[in-house]
Amino acid sequence: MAGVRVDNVSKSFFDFKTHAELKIIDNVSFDVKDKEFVSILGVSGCGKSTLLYMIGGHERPTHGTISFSDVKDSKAHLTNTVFQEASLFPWRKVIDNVIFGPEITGGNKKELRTKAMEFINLVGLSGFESAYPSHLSGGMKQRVAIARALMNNPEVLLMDEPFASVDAQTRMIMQEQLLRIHQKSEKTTLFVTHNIDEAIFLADRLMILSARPAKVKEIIEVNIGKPRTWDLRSSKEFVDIYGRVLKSLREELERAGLFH
Amino acid sequence: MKPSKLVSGAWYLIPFILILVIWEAVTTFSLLPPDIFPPLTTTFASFVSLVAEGTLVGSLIATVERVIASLLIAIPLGVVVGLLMGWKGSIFRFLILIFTVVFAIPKLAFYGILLFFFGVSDTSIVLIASLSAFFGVLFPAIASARSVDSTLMKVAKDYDAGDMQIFFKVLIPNAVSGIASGVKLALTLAYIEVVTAEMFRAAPGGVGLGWLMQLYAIYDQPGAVMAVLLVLLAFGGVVVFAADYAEGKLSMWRK
Repeated sequence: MAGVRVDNVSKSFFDFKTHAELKIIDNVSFDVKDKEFVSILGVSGCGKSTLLYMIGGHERPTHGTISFSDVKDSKAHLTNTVFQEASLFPWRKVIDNVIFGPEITGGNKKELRTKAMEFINLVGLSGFESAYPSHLSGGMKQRVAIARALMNNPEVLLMDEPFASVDAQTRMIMQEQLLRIHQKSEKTTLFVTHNIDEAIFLADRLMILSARPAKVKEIIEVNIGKPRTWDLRSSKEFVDIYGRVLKSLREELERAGLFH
Repeated sequence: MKPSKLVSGAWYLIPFILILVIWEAVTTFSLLPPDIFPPLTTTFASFVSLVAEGTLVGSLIATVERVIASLLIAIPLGVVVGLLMGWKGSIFRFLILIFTVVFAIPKLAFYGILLFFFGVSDTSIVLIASLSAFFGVLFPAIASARSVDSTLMKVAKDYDAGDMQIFFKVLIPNAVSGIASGVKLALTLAYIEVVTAEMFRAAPGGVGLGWLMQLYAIYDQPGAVMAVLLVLLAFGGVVVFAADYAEGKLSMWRK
């Protein structure tokens, strides 16, 4: 596990319509501590996912640097990402999807399968190890993707709206499961979401990004102890934070001219 | 099987029965002279004697072997080259014009050149049939590599898969069901090309269904020609069913 340092990072794309540089992310700096769970919130299209992809090495910053501190195992992967959309290999059974990471690094498939059961149990999918993804629901698929990422044991886990296409009730179950998994694995996690409730419920800290180009607007500590349970949502601390986040996001929506 | 299923299944067989009935009617009422269009009985008698003397079986085996040999070359080559072309733009640009031109002309045009090099031999027939079958899988393979879900590519890179691993663990399995139709097409193309090449010049060893047909046509034996044609058709049917079965087995992961 490790911490992440994002230092003065900017990202621009060339816009072919206007023939000008389009700035997506503007001079963003923040730190994520070892074992910490940080939720990243922001209005649609503000660049949350782009930021996550830069940390994951899928995109390069135009300016600035991203570094990792306290890396425990220099051979381990720095990051693995759980993507928003279905990302399982459809021709692989659940268990073979889960072992994909270490299989690439050259592990023995048989041994890996034994070890994979641990992670399949962790995400509550024992009994489904031999199923093909086409036979799973959206929520189950995302849990396999989470198991796959955990199996690879990255220093930092990145999650890009992983529950966006899951129905509300399954979503609630998965949030509680993720919270439990995080407590158990103590994996540094960055979690991008649109959902305020989810962001608060899961996080140690919340980062709110401004509308495009994204800057760090506000960082909010969620001083609510763990383990957390569902009824936390009606507590005063939770409701206070909720109100603060909502106000902050509304400001950004107004600034982006989305209220008329 | 339920009776309703039997009834609906019968529709598949009716055209064949109709053909046999019309065939028999045409010859019984002498609508066509029997030395041009032989009656079923003559065809059947020719078939039996051809089987008895071993020519038909020997030729069938020779043709099947040539078809299989050319597929063993064409399918792996077509899949690998096609996937590489669909995946890497530079490889695509390097090869596509040559392939487009060669694809557009009758492959038998190259048979003359092959005859210079290899004479009338199995090698010539297998090579010309491979060339034809190659295109059956090439274009579906290109399309398959291009249609790989971009998220899956992202995932592969997220887990540090190298080019070789992406090829074998993403592109190849993704292609398995995507190019099944191409494999079927390749089978048909190889079959067509083998039989045509066998007809074109004397087939090596005097065996091969195409050659046999040509031979009996020259000797004016319509019963034997028909008998060979029926064997060609039957084998064609087997080929199509085998391809369908293989496609089903290979893509079990699809719902």
